[in-house]
Amino acid sequence: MDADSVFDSLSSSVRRDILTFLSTHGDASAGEIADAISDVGRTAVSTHLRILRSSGLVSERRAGRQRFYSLDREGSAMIAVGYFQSLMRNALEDAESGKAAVTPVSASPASRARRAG
Amino acid sequence: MSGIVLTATRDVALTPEAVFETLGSWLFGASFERLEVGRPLTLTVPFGGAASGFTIFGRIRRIVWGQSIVIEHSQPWRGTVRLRLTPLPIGARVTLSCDVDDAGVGWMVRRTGIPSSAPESARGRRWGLLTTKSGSGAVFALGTENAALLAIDELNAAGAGMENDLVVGDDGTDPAMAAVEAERLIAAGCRVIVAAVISASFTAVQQVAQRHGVLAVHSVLNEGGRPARSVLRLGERPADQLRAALTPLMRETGGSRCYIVGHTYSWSRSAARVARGMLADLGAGVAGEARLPLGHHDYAPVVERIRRSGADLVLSTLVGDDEVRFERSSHELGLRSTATTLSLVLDESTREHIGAEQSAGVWAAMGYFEASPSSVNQAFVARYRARFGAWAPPLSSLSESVYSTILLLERALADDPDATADAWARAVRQVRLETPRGLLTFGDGETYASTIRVAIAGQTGFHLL
Repeated sequence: MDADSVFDSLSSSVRRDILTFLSTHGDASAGEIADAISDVGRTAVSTHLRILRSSGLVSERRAGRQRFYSLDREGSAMIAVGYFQSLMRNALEDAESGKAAVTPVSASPASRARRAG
Repeated sequence: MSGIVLTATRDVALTPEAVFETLGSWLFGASFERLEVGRPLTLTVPFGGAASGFTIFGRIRRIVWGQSIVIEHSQPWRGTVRLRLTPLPIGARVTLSCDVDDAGVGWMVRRTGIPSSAPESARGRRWGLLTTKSGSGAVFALGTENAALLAIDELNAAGAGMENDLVVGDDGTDPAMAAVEAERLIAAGCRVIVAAVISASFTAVQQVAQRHGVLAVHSVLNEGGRPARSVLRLGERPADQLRAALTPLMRETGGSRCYIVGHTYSWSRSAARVARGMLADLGAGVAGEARLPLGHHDYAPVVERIRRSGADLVLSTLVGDDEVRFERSSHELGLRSTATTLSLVLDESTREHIGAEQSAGVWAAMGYFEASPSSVNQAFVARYRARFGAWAPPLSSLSESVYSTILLLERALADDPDATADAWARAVRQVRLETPRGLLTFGDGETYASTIRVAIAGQTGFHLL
Protein backbone atom coordinates (compact mmCIF):
# COMPACT_ATOMS: atom_id res chain seq x y z
CA MET A 1 0.00 0.00 0.00
CA ASP A 2 1.16 3.55 -0.65
CA ALA A 3 -0.23 7.03 -0.21
CA ASP A 4 -1.15 7.35 -3.91
CA SER A 5 -3.31 4.21 -3.89
CA VAL A 6 -5.03 5.43 -0.73
CA PHE A 7 -5.87 8.80 -2.20
CA ASP A 8 -7.00 7.10 -5.42
CA SER A 9 -9.33 4.99 -3.29
CA LEU A 10 -10.69 8.06 -1.54
CA SER A 11 -11.28 9.89 -4.81
CA SER A 12 -14.50 7.96 -5.43
CA SER A 13 -17.62 9.21 -3.65
CA VAL A 14 -19.04 5.65 -3.64
CA ARG A 15 -15.95 4.35 -1.89
CA ARG A 16 -16.12 7.21 0.63
CA ASP A 17 -19.77 6.31 1.25
CA ILE A 18 -18.80 2.68 1.82
CA LEU A 19 -16.12 3.70 4.34
CA THR A 20 -18.52 6.00 6.16
CA PHE A 21 -21.13 3.22 6.30
CA LEU A 22 -18.60 0.73 7.68
CA SER A 23 -17.32 3.26 10.24
CA THR A 24 -20.73 3.31 11.91
CA HIS A 25 -22.03 -0.22 11.20
CA GLY A 26 -19.12 -2.49 12.07
CA ASP A 27 -18.93 -5.27 9.48
CA ALA A 28 -21.38 -5.87 6.67
CA SER A 29 -21.79 -8.01 3.56
CA ALA A 30 -21.58 -6.58 0.06
CA GLY A 31 -25.35 -6.97 -0.24
CA GLU A 32 -25.99 -5.02 2.95
CA ILE A 33 -23.66 -2.28 1.78
CA ALA A 34 -25.36 -2.14 -1.62
CA ASP A 35 -28.75 -1.84 0.08
CA ALA A 36 -27.49 1.02 2.23
CA ILE A 37 -25.96 3.03 -0.61
CA SER A 38 -28.51 4.14 -3.13
CA ASP A 39 -28.06 3.71 -6.90
CA VAL A 40 -25.10 1.33 -6.59
CA GLY A 41 -25.53 -2.32 -7.51
CA ARG A 42 -23.95 -5.24 -5.71
CA THR A 43 -21.46 -5.94 -8.50
CA ALA A 44 -20.24 -2.35 -8.43
CA VAL A 45 -19.99 -2.46 -4.64
CA SER A 46 -17.89 -5.63 -4.87
CA THR A 47 -15.53 -3.88 -7.28
CA HIS A 48 -15.19 -0.90 -4.98
CA LEU A 49 -14.61 -3.19 -1.99
CA ARG A 50 -11.78 -4.92 -3.88
CA ILE A 51 -10.08 -1.54 -4.44
CA LEU A 52 -10.55 -0.58 -0.79
CA ARG A 53 -9.10 -3.90 0.34
CA SER A 54 -6.06 -3.58 -1.90
CA SER A 55 -5.31 -0.11 -0.52
CA GLY A 56 -5.53 -1.41 3.04
CA LEU A 57 -8.60 0.53 4.12
CA VAL A 58 -11.00 -2.42 4.40
CA SER A 59 -10.53 -5.96 5.66
CA GLU A 60 -12.53 -9.08 4.78
CA ARG A 61 -13.79 -11.89 7.02
CA ARG A 62 -15.33 -15.14 5.74
CA ALA A 63 -18.15 -16.91 7.56
CA GLY A 64 -19.14 -19.99 5.56
CA ARG A 65 -20.03 -18.79 2.07
CA GLN A 66 -20.60 -15.23 3.26
CA ARG A 67 -17.97 -12.49 3.21
CA PHE A 68 -18.13 -9.61 5.62
CA TYR A 69 -16.23 -6.35 5.27
CA SER A 70 -15.14 -3.90 7.94
CA LEU A 71 -13.05 -0.78 8.25
CA ASP A 72 -9.44 -1.83 8.78
CA ARG A 73 -8.50 0.51 11.63
CA GLU A 74 -4.94 -0.80 11.87
CA GLY A 75 -4.48 -0.55 8.12
CA SER A 76 -5.87 2.99 8.01
CA ALA A 77 -3.64 4.02 10.89
CA MET A 78 -0.55 2.56 9.23
CA ILE A 79 -1.37 4.40 6.00
CA ALA A 80 -1.61 7.74 7.78
CA VAL A 81 1.51 7.09 9.82
CA GLY A 82 3.41 5.94 6.74
CA TYR A 83 2.46 9.11 4.93
CA PHE A 84 3.70 11.23 7.83
CA GLN A 85 6.96 9.29 7.87
CA SER A 86 7.44 9.97 4.15
CA LEU A 87 7.01 13.68 4.86
CA MET A 88 9.77 13.46 7.46
CA ARG A 89 12.08 11.82 4.94
CA ASN A 90 11.25 14.52 2.40
CA ALA A 91 12.14 17.18 4.95
CA LEU A 92 15.57 15.64 5.43
CA GLU A 93 16.07 15.49 1.67
CA ASP A 94 15.29 19.20 1.56
CA ALA A 95 17.95 19.81 4.19
CA GLU A 96 20.57 18.57 1.75
CA SER A 97 19.09 19.21 -1.67
CA GLY A 98 20.11 22.81 -1.73
CA LYS A 99 17.60 24.53 0.47
CA ALA A 100 19.93 24.45 3.43
CA ALA A 101 23.04 25.15 1.39
CA VAL A 102 21.77 28.08 -0.63
CA THR A 103 19.94 29.89 2.14
CA PRO A 104 22.14 32.82 3.16
CA VAL A 105 23.10 32.41 6.79
CA SER A 106 22.23 36.00 7.56
CA ALA A 107 18.67 35.52 6.28
CA SER A 108 17.82 32.43 8.29
CA PRO A 109 15.57 32.82 11.32
CA ALA A 110 17.99 30.72 13.33
CA SER A 111 20.94 32.98 12.77
CA ARG A 112 18.87 36.10 13.37
CA ALA A 113 17.73 34.62 16.65
CA ARG A 114 21.26 33.73 17.67
CA ARG A 115 22.49 37.26 17.04
CA ALA A 116 19.52 38.69 18.91
CA GLY A 117 20.17 36.36 21.84
CA MET B 1 -2.39 0.64 18.20
CA SER B 2 -0.40 2.32 20.96
CA GLY B 3 1.81 5.38 20.59
CA ILE B 4 4.72 5.11 18.19
CA VAL B 5 7.97 6.91 17.44
CA LEU B 6 8.79 7.68 13.81
CA THR B 7 12.40 8.22 12.85
CA ALA B 8 14.07 9.37 9.66
CA THR B 9 17.85 9.57 9.22
CA ARG B 10 19.96 10.95 6.41
CA ASP B 11 23.67 11.60 5.95
CA VAL B 12 24.27 14.95 4.29
CA ALA B 13 27.35 16.64 2.83
CA LEU B 14 26.94 19.73 5.00
CA THR B 15 28.31 20.54 8.41
CA PRO B 16 25.96 20.16 11.39
CA GLU B 17 26.17 23.94 11.88
CA ALA B 18 25.05 24.60 8.29
CA VAL B 19 22.08 22.26 8.61
CA PHE B 20 21.11 23.72 11.97
CA GLU B 21 21.45 27.32 10.83
CA THR B 22 18.86 26.78 8.12
CA LEU B 23 16.31 24.58 9.87
CA GLY B 24 13.69 27.29 9.37
CA SER B 25 13.88 26.66 5.63
CA TRP B 26 13.56 22.86 5.61
CA LEU B 27 12.16 21.54 8.90
CA PHE B 28 8.47 21.91 7.95
CA GLY B 29 8.92 25.69 7.74
CA ALA B 30 9.89 26.03 11.41
CA SER B 31 8.79 29.46 12.59
CA PHE B 32 9.81 31.09 15.86
CA GLU B 33 10.47 34.49 17.33
CA ARG B 34 13.71 33.34 18.91
CA LEU B 35 15.50 29.99 19.23
CA GLU B 36 15.52 29.82 22.98
CA VAL B 37 14.36 27.31 25.57
CA GLY B 38 10.72 27.96 26.54
CA ARG B 39 9.81 29.91 23.36
CA PRO B 40 6.85 28.86 21.16
CA LEU B 41 7.65 27.36 17.77
CA THR B 42 5.42 26.20 14.93
CA LEU B 43 5.95 23.65 12.17
CA THR B 44 3.76 23.64 9.06
CA VAL B 45 3.24 20.16 7.65
CA PRO B 46 1.63 19.39 4.28
CA PHE B 47 -0.75 16.51 4.85
CA GLY B 48 -3.71 14.61 3.51
CA GLY B 49 -4.16 16.67 0.38
CA ALA B 50 -4.99 19.84 2.35
CA ALA B 51 -3.71 22.88 0.50
CA SER B 52 -2.28 24.55 3.57
CA GLY B 53 -1.36 21.47 5.56
CA PHE B 54 -1.52 21.72 9.31
CA THR B 55 0.48 23.44 12.02
CA ILE B 56 2.21 21.76 14.93
CA PHE B 57 2.23 24.12 17.90
CA GLY B 58 5.13 23.49 20.20
CA ARG B 59 7.60 24.97 22.60
CA ILE B 60 11.37 24.63 22.54
CA ARG B 61 12.21 22.35 25.41
CA ARG B 62 15.94 21.85 24.92
CA ILE B 63 18.52 23.22 22.55
CA VAL B 64 22.22 22.58 22.01
CA TRP B 65 23.36 24.92 19.28
CA GLY B 66 24.41 23.07 16.13
CA GLN B 67 23.72 19.68 17.71
CA SER B 68 20.13 19.17 18.74
CA ILE B 69 16.74 20.70 19.38
CA VAL B 70 13.77 19.19 21.21
CA ILE B 71 10.28 20.58 20.62
CA GLU B 72 7.43 19.53 22.89
CA HIS B 73 4.00 20.09 21.39
CA SER B 74 0.35 19.74 22.33
CA GLN B 75 -1.41 20.29 18.99
CA PRO B 76 -2.75 18.69 16.89
CA TRP B 77 -1.64 15.86 19.19
CA ARG B 78 0.72 15.63 22.16
CA GLY B 79 4.24 14.67 21.30
CA THR B 80 7.87 15.57 20.84
CA VAL B 81 9.86 16.45 17.74
CA ARG B 82 13.59 15.82 18.12
CA LEU B 83 16.33 16.79 15.72
CA ARG B 84 19.85 15.50 16.30
CA LEU B 85 22.94 16.36 14.23
CA THR B 86 26.03 14.18 14.47
CA PRO B 87 29.29 15.19 12.79
CA LEU B 88 30.72 12.74 10.23
CA PRO B 89 34.24 12.83 8.69
CA ILE B 90 32.55 14.57 5.76
CA GLY B 91 29.19 16.10 6.49
CA ALA B 92 26.66 15.23 9.15
CA ARG B 93 24.09 12.61 10.12
CA VAL B 94 20.67 14.20 10.58
CA THR B 95 18.16 12.27 12.69
CA LEU B 96 14.58 13.48 12.96
CA SER B 97 12.15 11.70 15.27
CA CYS B 98 8.52 12.41 16.09
CA ASP B 99 6.33 10.56 18.55
CA VAL B 100 2.68 10.12 17.74
CA ASP B 101 0.22 8.98 20.39
CA ASP B 102 -3.08 7.19 19.75
CA ALA B 103 -4.95 10.50 19.56
CA GLY B 104 -2.41 11.67 16.97
CA VAL B 105 -2.81 8.54 14.86
CA GLY B 106 -6.61 8.92 14.99
CA TRP B 107 -6.33 12.58 14.04
CA MET B 108 -4.10 11.75 11.06
CA VAL B 109 -6.45 8.99 9.88
CA ARG B 110 -9.40 11.39 9.85
CA ARG B 111 -7.35 14.19 8.29
CA THR B 112 -6.28 11.85 5.53
CA GLY B 113 -9.96 11.59 4.67
CA ILE B 114 -10.60 8.12 6.06
CA PRO B 115 -13.67 7.90 8.32
CA SER B 116 -12.71 6.41 11.65
CA SER B 117 -15.03 4.17 13.56
CA ALA B 118 -16.43 5.51 16.82
CA PRO B 119 -14.46 4.67 19.95
CA GLU B 120 -15.93 1.92 22.08
CA SER B 121 -18.52 3.33 24.42
CA ALA B 122 -17.54 4.11 27.97
CA ARG B 123 -19.23 2.73 31.07
CA GLY B 124 -20.01 6.15 32.49
CA ARG B 125 -20.64 9.59 31.06
CA ARG B 126 -18.86 10.49 27.90
CA TRP B 127 -18.22 14.19 27.29
CA GLY B 128 -17.64 15.57 23.82
CA LEU B 129 -15.17 18.41 23.41
CA LEU B 130 -15.00 20.13 20.06
CA THR B 131 -11.93 22.28 19.91
CA THR B 132 -9.67 23.67 17.22
CA LYS B 133 -6.54 21.65 16.69
CA SER B 134 -5.92 22.97 13.20
CA GLY B 135 -6.69 25.98 11.03
CA SER B 136 -6.59 29.67 11.96
CA GLY B 137 -8.20 29.14 15.37
CA ALA B 138 -5.64 26.57 16.52
CA VAL B 139 -3.52 29.38 17.96
CA PHE B 140 -6.08 30.30 20.58
CA ALA B 141 -7.29 26.76 21.29
CA LEU B 142 -4.01 25.72 22.87
CA GLY B 143 -4.76 24.43 26.32
CA THR B 144 -8.50 23.80 25.91
CA GLU B 145 -8.07 20.03 25.76
CA ASN B 146 -5.81 20.16 28.82
CA ALA B 147 -8.37 22.19 30.73
CA ALA B 148 -11.12 19.74 29.79
CA LEU B 149 -9.00 16.78 30.88
CA LEU B 150 -8.30 18.49 34.20
CA ALA B 151 -12.03 18.93 34.78
CA ILE B 152 -12.70 15.28 33.89
CA ASP B 153 -9.89 14.14 36.22
CA GLU B 154 -11.33 16.20 39.05
CA LEU B 155 -14.84 14.85 38.49
CA ASN B 156 -13.52 11.28 38.58
CA ALA B 157 -11.35 11.99 41.62
CA ALA B 158 -14.39 13.38 43.43
CA GLY B 159 -15.82 9.88 43.06
CA ALA B 160 -19.44 10.77 42.52
CA GLY B 161 -19.99 7.24 41.29
CA MET B 162 -20.07 7.78 37.56
CA GLU B 163 -16.89 7.44 35.51
CA ASN B 164 -16.36 10.33 33.08
CA ASP B 165 -14.31 10.32 29.93
CA LEU B 166 -13.60 12.74 27.12
CA VAL B 167 -13.80 12.39 23.34
CA VAL B 168 -12.10 15.22 21.48
CA GLY B 169 -12.96 16.52 18.02
CA ASP B 170 -11.18 19.05 15.81
CA ASP B 171 -13.28 21.53 13.80
CA GLY B 172 -10.25 22.68 11.78
CA THR B 173 -11.74 26.21 12.05
CA ASP B 174 -14.22 25.02 9.42
CA PRO B 175 -18.01 24.71 9.96
CA ALA B 176 -18.30 21.72 7.60
CA MET B 177 -15.66 19.83 9.53
CA ALA B 178 -17.32 20.90 12.79
CA ALA B 179 -20.55 19.18 11.69
CA VAL B 180 -18.72 15.98 10.72
CA GLU B 181 -16.86 15.91 14.02
CA ALA B 182 -20.04 16.59 16.00
CA GLU B 183 -21.61 13.55 14.34
CA ARG B 184 -18.56 11.49 15.33
CA LEU B 185 -18.73 12.62 18.97
CA ILE B 186 -22.42 11.77 19.13
CA ALA B 187 -21.82 8.37 17.51
CA ALA B 188 -19.24 7.77 20.23
CA GLY B 189 -21.93 8.19 22.87
CA CYS B 190 -21.53 11.84 23.88
CA ARG B 191 -24.79 13.41 25.03
CA VAL B 192 -23.13 16.75 25.74
CA ILE B 193 -20.80 18.63 23.39
CA VAL B 194 -18.76 21.49 24.83
CA ALA B 195 -17.61 23.58 21.88
CA ALA B 196 -14.63 25.91 22.13
CA VAL B 197 -14.76 26.98 18.49
CA ILE B 198 -15.62 30.01 16.37
CA SER B 199 -19.30 30.95 16.09
CA ALA B 200 -19.64 29.72 12.53
CA SER B 201 -18.54 26.26 13.65
CA PHE B 202 -20.85 26.33 16.66
CA THR B 203 -23.83 27.04 14.42
CA ALA B 204 -23.03 23.83 12.54
CA VAL B 205 -22.62 21.91 15.81
CA GLN B 206 -25.91 23.25 17.11
CA GLN B 207 -27.81 21.93 14.09
CA VAL B 208 -26.31 18.46 14.43
CA ALA B 209 -26.85 18.37 18.21
CA GLN B 210 -30.50 19.41 17.97
CA ARG B 211 -31.16 16.70 15.39
CA HIS B 212 -29.82 14.07 17.84
CA GLY B 213 -31.24 15.53 21.07
CA VAL B 214 -27.79 16.35 22.40
CA LEU B 215 -26.94 19.35 24.59
CA ALA B 216 -24.61 21.78 22.80
CA VAL B 217 -22.72 24.36 24.84
CA HIS B 218 -20.64 27.17 23.39
CA SER B 219 -18.17 27.87 26.17
CA VAL B 220 -16.01 30.56 24.59
CA LEU B 221 -16.73 34.17 23.71
CA ASN B 222 -19.56 34.56 21.20
CA GLU B 223 -22.11 37.04 19.90
CA GLY B 224 -25.16 35.17 21.27
CA GLY B 225 -27.93 33.95 19.06
CA ARG B 226 -31.52 32.87 18.94
CA PRO B 227 -32.37 31.11 22.22
CA ALA B 228 -32.88 27.36 21.82
CA ARG B 229 -33.96 24.88 24.46
CA SER B 230 -31.00 22.51 24.20
CA VAL B 231 -28.32 25.10 23.46
CA LEU B 232 -26.27 27.19 25.88
CA ARG B 233 -23.94 30.03 24.95
CA LEU B 234 -21.84 30.84 27.97
CA GLY B 235 -18.83 32.87 26.84
CA GLU B 236 -18.14 36.59 26.89
CA ARG B 237 -20.28 38.83 24.69
CA PRO B 238 -18.73 41.62 22.60
CA ALA B 239 -20.96 44.26 24.22
CA ASP B 240 -19.65 43.34 27.69
CA GLN B 241 -16.04 43.30 26.51
CA LEU B 242 -16.37 46.68 24.79
CA ARG B 243 -18.29 48.22 27.70
CA ALA B 244 -15.48 47.22 30.05
CA ALA B 245 -12.59 48.34 27.85
CA LEU B 246 -13.52 51.30 25.65
CA THR B 247 -13.91 53.98 28.33
CA PRO B 248 -10.60 53.27 30.12
CA LEU B 249 -8.87 52.87 26.75
CA MET B 250 -10.01 56.31 25.57
CA ARG B 251 -9.26 57.89 28.96
CA GLU B 252 -5.75 56.42 29.19
CA THR B 253 -4.70 57.09 25.61
CA GLY B 254 -6.76 60.18 24.76
CA GLY B 255 -7.69 58.41 21.51
CA SER B 256 -10.96 59.25 19.78
CA ARG B 257 -10.72 57.95 16.18
CA CYS B 258 -11.05 54.19 15.94
CA TYR B 259 -10.32 51.93 12.98
CA ILE B 260 -12.17 48.60 13.13
CA VAL B 261 -10.53 45.54 11.58
CA GLY B 262 -12.22 42.15 11.58
CA HIS B 263 -13.44 39.12 9.69
CA THR B 264 -16.34 38.55 7.34
CA TYR B 265 -18.10 36.04 9.60
CA SER B 266 -20.86 36.49 12.14
CA TRP B 267 -19.07 37.10 15.46
CA SER B 268 -16.75 39.70 14.00
CA ARG B 269 -19.58 41.53 12.21
CA SER B 270 -21.65 41.55 15.37
CA ALA B 271 -18.78 42.91 17.47
CA ALA B 272 -18.14 45.68 14.94
CA ARG B 273 -21.81 46.66 14.92
CA VAL B 274 -21.86 46.93 18.72
CA ALA B 275 -18.58 48.87 18.68
CA ARG B 276 -19.86 51.46 16.21
CA GLY B 277 -22.79 52.24 18.51
CA MET B 278 -20.68 52.44 21.66
CA LEU B 279 -18.01 54.59 20.02
CA ALA B 280 -20.69 57.06 18.93
CA ASP B 281 -22.13 57.13 22.46
CA LEU B 282 -18.65 57.89 23.83
CA GLY B 283 -18.12 60.71 21.34
CA ALA B 284 -15.53 58.82 19.30
CA GLY B 285 -15.48 58.49 15.52
CA VAL B 286 -14.89 55.52 13.24
CA ALA B 287 -11.86 56.26 11.05
CA GLY B 288 -12.48 53.27 8.80
CA GLU B 289 -13.17 49.57 8.64
CA ALA B 290 -11.50 46.55 7.09
CA ARG B 291 -13.14 43.16 6.84
CA LEU B 292 -11.12 40.13 5.72
CA PRO B 293 -11.94 36.46 5.24
CA LEU B 294 -10.75 34.02 7.91
CA GLY B 295 -7.28 32.79 6.98
CA HIS B 296 -6.16 36.02 5.28
CA HIS B 297 -2.37 36.18 5.20
CA ASP B 298 -1.02 39.60 4.29
CA TYR B 299 -2.06 42.29 6.76
CA ALA B 300 0.57 44.89 5.78
CA PRO B 301 -1.81 46.71 3.36
CA VAL B 302 -4.47 46.85 6.07
CA VAL B 303 -2.02 48.35 8.54
CA GLU B 304 -1.02 50.91 5.93
CA ARG B 305 -4.68 51.88 5.43
CA ILE B 306 -5.06 52.32 9.17
CA ARG B 307 -1.99 54.56 9.30
CA ARG B 308 -3.29 56.71 6.48
CA SER B 309 -6.71 57.02 8.13
CA GLY B 310 -5.22 58.94 11.05
CA ALA B 311 -6.78 56.56 13.58
CA ASP B 312 -5.41 56.72 17.10
CA LEU B 313 -7.33 53.64 18.25
CA VAL B 314 -7.69 50.24 16.58
CA LEU B 315 -10.32 47.65 17.42
CA SER B 316 -9.32 44.17 16.25
CA THR B 317 -11.88 41.37 16.13
CA LEU B 318 -9.51 39.08 14.23
CA VAL B 319 -9.05 35.60 15.63
CA GLY B 320 -6.21 33.11 15.91
CA ASP B 321 -3.49 33.11 13.31
CA ASP B 322 -5.04 36.13 11.59
CA GLU B 323 -4.70 38.13 14.81
CA VAL B 324 -1.08 36.96 15.09
CA ARG B 325 -0.31 38.16 11.56
CA PHE B 326 -2.11 41.47 12.02
CA GLU B 327 -0.40 42.35 15.31
CA ARG B 328 3.02 41.38 13.98
CA SER B 329 2.44 43.64 10.96
CA SER B 330 1.22 46.44 13.23
CA HIS B 331 4.43 46.20 15.24
CA GLU B 332 6.75 45.90 12.24
CA LEU B 333 5.18 48.84 10.41
CA GLY B 334 5.24 51.15 13.41
CA LEU B 335 1.50 51.41 14.02
CA ARG B 336 2.04 51.09 17.79
CA SER B 337 3.57 54.58 17.90
CA THR B 338 0.43 56.27 16.55
CA ALA B 339 -2.46 54.06 17.67
CA THR B 340 -3.38 51.78 20.56
CA THR B 341 -5.09 48.50 19.74
CA LEU B 342 -7.88 46.80 21.66
CA SER B 343 -8.17 43.17 20.60
CA LEU B 344 -11.26 41.19 21.59
CA VAL B 345 -9.69 37.76 21.02
CA LEU B 346 -6.23 38.34 22.38
CA ASP B 347 -5.68 35.58 24.92
CA GLU B 348 -2.48 34.27 26.49
CA SER B 349 -1.78 31.75 23.72
CA THR B 350 -2.31 34.26 20.94
CA ARG B 351 -0.07 36.78 22.74
CA GLU B 352 2.70 34.20 22.94
CA HIS B 353 2.47 33.47 19.24
CA ILE B 354 2.51 37.13 18.30
CA GLY B 355 5.64 37.54 20.40
CA ALA B 356 6.32 39.43 23.62
CA GLU B 357 7.83 42.47 21.95
CA GLN B 358 5.38 42.54 19.04
CA SER B 359 2.29 42.35 21.26
CA ALA B 360 3.41 44.73 24.01
CA GLY B 361 0.89 47.50 24.58
CA VAL B 362 -2.14 45.79 23.03
CA TRP B 363 -5.26 45.90 25.21
CA ALA B 364 -7.45 42.88 25.87
CA ALA B 365 -10.80 42.36 27.63
CA MET B 366 -11.77 38.89 28.78
CA GLY B 367 -13.64 37.17 31.59
CA TYR B 368 -10.47 35.40 32.66
CA PHE B 369 -6.72 35.93 32.58
CA GLU B 370 -4.19 33.44 33.89
CA ALA B 371 -2.66 36.28 35.95
CA SER B 372 -5.84 36.77 37.98
CA PRO B 373 -4.72 36.93 41.63
CA SER B 374 -7.74 35.23 43.20
CA SER B 375 -6.95 32.26 45.42
CA VAL B 376 -9.35 30.04 43.44
CA ASN B 377 -7.49 30.86 40.25
CA GLN B 378 -4.04 30.45 41.75
CA ALA B 379 -5.01 26.98 42.96
CA PHE B 380 -6.43 26.20 39.50
CA VAL B 381 -3.22 27.29 37.76
CA ALA B 382 -1.15 25.24 40.22
CA ARG B 383 -3.26 22.11 39.55
CA TYR B 384 -2.96 22.67 35.78
CA ARG B 385 0.84 22.96 35.97
CA ALA B 386 1.10 19.95 38.27
CA ARG B 387 -0.95 17.88 35.82
CA PHE B 388 0.53 19.04 32.50
CA GLY B 389 3.96 20.42 33.38
CA ALA B 390 5.86 23.61 32.81
CA TRP B 391 5.76 23.26 29.01
CA ALA B 392 1.99 23.11 28.71
CA PRO B 393 0.32 26.01 26.87
CA PRO B 394 -0.76 28.93 29.06
CA LEU B 395 -4.28 29.01 30.44
CA SER B 396 -6.58 31.63 28.99
CA SER B 397 -10.24 32.60 28.96
CA LEU B 398 -10.80 30.13 26.13
CA SER B 399 -9.38 27.15 28.02
CA GLU B 400 -10.64 28.10 31.48
CA SER B 401 -14.15 28.43 30.06
CA VAL B 402 -14.03 24.76 29.03
CA TYR B 403 -12.94 23.70 32.52
CA SER B 404 -15.63 25.76 34.26
CA THR B 405 -18.31 24.74 31.78
CA ILE B 406 -17.75 21.02 32.41
CA LEU B 407 -17.95 21.52 36.19
CA LEU B 408 -21.03 23.73 35.78
CA LEU B 409 -22.74 21.11 33.62
CA GLU B 410 -21.84 18.28 35.97
CA ARG B 411 -23.70 20.06 38.78
CA ALA B 412 -26.81 20.10 36.61
CA LEU B 413 -26.45 16.64 35.09
CA ALA B 414 -25.71 14.87 38.38
CA ASP B 415 -29.26 15.30 39.65
CA ASP B 416 -30.81 13.55 36.67
CA PRO B 417 -28.26 11.76 34.49
CA ASP B 418 -30.93 10.42 32.14
CA ALA B 419 -32.78 13.69 31.54
CA THR B 420 -33.25 15.21 28.11
CA ALA B 421 -30.95 17.87 26.74
CA ASP B 422 -33.69 20.46 27.25
CA ALA B 423 -34.02 19.53 30.92
CA TRP B 424 -30.27 19.68 31.41
CA ALA B 425 -30.16 23.13 29.83
CA ARG B 426 -32.90 24.31 32.23
CA ALA B 427 -31.07 22.78 35.19
CA VAL B 428 -27.77 24.46 34.30
CA ARG B 429 -29.49 27.84 34.55
CA GLN B 430 -30.13 27.19 38.24
CA VAL B 431 -26.50 26.43 39.12
CA ARG B 432 -24.23 28.82 41.01
CA LEU B 433 -20.56 27.87 40.91
CA GLU B 434 -17.33 29.43 42.15
CA THR B 435 -14.82 29.13 39.32
CA PRO B 436 -11.36 30.48 38.49
CA ARG B 437 -13.06 33.43 36.73
CA GLY B 438 -15.35 34.13 39.69
CA LEU B 439 -18.84 33.20 40.80
CA LEU B 440 -20.93 32.07 37.84
CA THR B 441 -24.67 32.64 38.00
CA PHE B 442 -27.17 32.95 35.21
CA GLY B 443 -28.04 36.61 35.01
CA ASP B 444 -30.62 36.73 32.24
CA GLY B 445 -31.39 33.04 31.75
CA GLU B 446 -29.38 33.01 28.52
CA THR B 447 -25.78 33.33 29.69
CA TYR B 448 -23.95 33.65 32.97
CA ALA B 449 -23.06 36.91 34.61
CA SER B 450 -19.30 37.29 34.84
CA THR B 451 -16.94 40.21 35.26
CA ILE B 452 -14.89 41.29 32.27
CA ARG B 453 -11.31 42.16 33.13
CA VAL B 454 -9.19 44.54 31.10
CA ALA B 455 -5.47 43.90 30.65
CA ILE B 456 -2.51 45.17 28.65
CA ALA B 457 0.00 42.82 27.03
CA GLY B 458 3.51 43.26 28.39
CA GLN B 459 6.88 41.59 27.96
CA THR B 460 6.11 38.77 30.38
CA GLY B 461 2.34 38.42 30.11
CA PHE B 462 -0.81 40.41 30.73
CA HIS B 463 -0.94 43.21 33.28
CA LEU B 464 -4.44 43.50 34.72
CA LEU B 465 -5.83 47.01 35.08
